[in-house]
Amino acid sequence: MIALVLRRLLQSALVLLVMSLLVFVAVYAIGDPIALLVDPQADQHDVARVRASLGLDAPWWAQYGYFLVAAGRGDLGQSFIHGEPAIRLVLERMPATLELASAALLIALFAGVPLGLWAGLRPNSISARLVNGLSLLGFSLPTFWVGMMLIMLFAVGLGWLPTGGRGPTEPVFGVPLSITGIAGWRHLLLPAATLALFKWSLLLRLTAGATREAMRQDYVRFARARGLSPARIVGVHVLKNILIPIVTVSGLEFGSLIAFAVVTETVFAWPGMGKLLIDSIAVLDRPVVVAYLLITVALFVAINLVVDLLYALLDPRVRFGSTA
Amino acid sequence: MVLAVDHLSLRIPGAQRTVYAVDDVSFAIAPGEVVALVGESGSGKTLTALALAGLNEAAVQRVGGSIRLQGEELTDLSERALRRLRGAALSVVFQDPMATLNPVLTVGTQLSETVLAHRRVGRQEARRRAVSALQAVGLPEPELRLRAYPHQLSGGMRQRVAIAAALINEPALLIADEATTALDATLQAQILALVRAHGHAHGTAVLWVTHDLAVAAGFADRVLVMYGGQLIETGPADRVLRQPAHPYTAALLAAIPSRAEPGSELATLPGQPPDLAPPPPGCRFRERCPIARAECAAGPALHALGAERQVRCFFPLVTS
Repeated sequence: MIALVLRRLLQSALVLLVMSLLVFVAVYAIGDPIALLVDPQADQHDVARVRASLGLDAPWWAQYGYFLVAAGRGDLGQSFIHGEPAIRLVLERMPATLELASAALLIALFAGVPLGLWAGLRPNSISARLVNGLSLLGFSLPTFWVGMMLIMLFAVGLGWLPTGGRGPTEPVFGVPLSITGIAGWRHLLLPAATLALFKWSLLLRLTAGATREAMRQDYVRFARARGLSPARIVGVHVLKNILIPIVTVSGLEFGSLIAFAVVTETVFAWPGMGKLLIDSIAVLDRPVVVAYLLITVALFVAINLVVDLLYALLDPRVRFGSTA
Repeated sequence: MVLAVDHLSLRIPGAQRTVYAVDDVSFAIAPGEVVALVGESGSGKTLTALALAGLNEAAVQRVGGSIRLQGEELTDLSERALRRLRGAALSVVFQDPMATLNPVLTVGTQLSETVLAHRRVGRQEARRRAVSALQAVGLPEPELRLRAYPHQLSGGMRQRVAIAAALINEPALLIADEATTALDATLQAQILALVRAHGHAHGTAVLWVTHDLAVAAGFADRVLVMYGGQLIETGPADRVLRQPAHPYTAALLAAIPSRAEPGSELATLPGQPPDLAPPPPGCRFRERCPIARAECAAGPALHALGAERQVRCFFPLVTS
């Protein structure tokens, strides 16, 4: 188990390193920032001086080295627009995005898994087909459209919920969160539901499929032959098996929730990292883009690590290795 | 008698054709008796065995007959009442030991839950019974095995665990469906000896479903041979296998490699088993039978051949 953790940690560090190289090459080595920074009237001598003062005269691998060293100290450069460290700008927005993504994942899990289990246990019933059809809608409707429809219905039409923005925040262990108050929840509900819809469909279908599959397995037949109650067969024998794919997919999809949040945050004016990214791309604020990409990669890597560990916790065949 | 099956018939209705899979099967098993139910694929042997425990798929319908376990009629029981019997009064073991146990639950959990589902005992007592059940099937270091997951055990050990789970509540009847088919010959012999000894010692009736006559020969007290959904021969194992009365049983015996002359070609049976949707009229074996005559079109009934044997043939190979 400890060897597994160490191996995964080492792999994570490698992935981060490779990703930083890709991001660096993609964003810094394509195009010449000097052309943007120096007055077009300046002569060769001035250009060379600015280039040298910014360290841009060094070969690209040396520049990457400086970048790595600075990144190691937590410095990813200053925002061109805000004049603040880019990493601070992104980190300030991160709690809002994580709050939104977590709420969306919880909605998807608590609405998707029980319904999927229910549909998977009676695959040929009309109600299960109805649920399946509904989940198909969740797959195919575009997020931005669903978001706008929800705003039209619940915010504009019925006036029950605000049209956008985030509720007042309160620091919880130093992290500003909006879910401590009713107003926060009222703001969170619509964007979280919008973001959750696709994952809800995915988890529902995954759970239904895995349940159908598990119910056909010999161990379920043997459990029935031993006279176990249906509650025990479904709640322990089936659930413990299907939790393995559910946890894996939820973990991986949590990463993509953070990425998908870009669209939802824009529609709902949610002040998260995604909205910052869109705004920064629009004004070519490259340090912020780099900081966003690197932090997102770090998040993905961390999530994957947690999924791997959870996987080992749930599946004894992974935990102990297969001897059969 | 622990088990009495009378005139059991099963069919599988389909959109186009209905399969008459089991036709008028009757037999009984005494306490401690080991009975082998032998037949090829599609003969109806597995459907017959699983019907006793109410474990057939919903598509399989019982059209008639009665099943009595220790005098209690099972065909009238609700699913709930049957569940109380399964794992307690009658147990079933399946073929594939690799797939029978739940991969994410420990051996101890799967044994204990079988006790807790049927007996009013605490977890401690359930665990204690799990240890002795593993001891009874000859697993070394049972305390250690309780904490093991199925993938940490070999196929033979897993089948022992499955049998331990089946026997843990001391059922009156153990049904095994090809339970040793997936194991190699040595393990198979060990497990058969174990089950036989347990059955004789505890008075457990055993119904062992197999396609392998050699298994029946070395292990069973009595043999039931099925063909085309019907019982075609029954009787004490040694006598049926030494002197088969039905041409089909004789043909099966001739096809066992270990009984053939070394170097000689194995006897094979021409033709296919009958299509049971619907079954052909008359004797179902007559298309493949080397001694069939015109009379066989009438269809023989299963009739007594001496005191202990029965045969479904107008021209049995042995006479009483």
